[in-house]
Amino acid sequence: MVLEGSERELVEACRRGEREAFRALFEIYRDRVYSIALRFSGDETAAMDIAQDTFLKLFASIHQFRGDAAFQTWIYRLVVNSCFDHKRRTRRLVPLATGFLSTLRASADSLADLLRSEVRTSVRTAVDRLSPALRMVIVLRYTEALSYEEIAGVLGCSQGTVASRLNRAHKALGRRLSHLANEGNRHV
Amino acid sequence: MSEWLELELAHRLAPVRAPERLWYLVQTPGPLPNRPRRPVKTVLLLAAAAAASVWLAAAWRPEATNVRTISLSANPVESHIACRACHAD
Repeated sequence: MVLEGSERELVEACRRGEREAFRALFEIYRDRVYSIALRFSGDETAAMDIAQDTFLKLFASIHQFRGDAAFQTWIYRLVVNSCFDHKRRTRRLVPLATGFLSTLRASADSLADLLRSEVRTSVRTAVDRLSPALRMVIVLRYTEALSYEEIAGVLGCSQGTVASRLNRAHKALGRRLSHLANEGNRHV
Repeated sequence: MSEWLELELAHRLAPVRAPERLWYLVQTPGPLPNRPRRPVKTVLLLAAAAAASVWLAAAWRPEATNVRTISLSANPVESHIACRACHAD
């Protein structure tokens, strides 16, 4: 089994139904699971939904973990599947409205705040507009700092596919955010 | 890819801390409390109401303004009114 000593014990304890072990495992992975969910969905309520779903699946199916992959990879697969399931279940009526509402909510006390808010909103909107497959590669790369090999393991595809998706995502983001890049260069 | 984009993505997509109430939700599965209601039903209802209003407005024809209806009526007084609608004194 590809597990570190303490994690292996935790998984075994979870299989025996020990409540403290579930809590300990939750504490280890909660931020990682929630971060992927939030960065993928762009919405806190949706992220809570996805994270809750992921941990429920994890606890319900931990006895199915065979140990032929790293436990972390297994959890990442669960959260990735929950993200895609959530995306299929819910369709945003007006995706671009999110960016607009964020701008309205953002603090606009000063010009600097306004510019920061615009950059944040633009990046968020550009990431939201990527297809789920491209967005997930971007999230795993930049939120979790996973290597190409690790991303390929999580998504069940080749490293070449990961590289290709990252390349396409970067190009799309570069096009959509080119106006900000020019702004940024001017201010640097 | 530009360095600017790389830095911006790393900054904007940085990991965050999960809310404390996540453990509570995992222990008590079910719909999230205080979840904002999805506006789909409201939007559909409003769209149906708007469509119904437009259809009613288009279908409604006040009889009093329909000269032909008045002229075809058997009442000679009303026929006279109908004629005066077109032919001024």
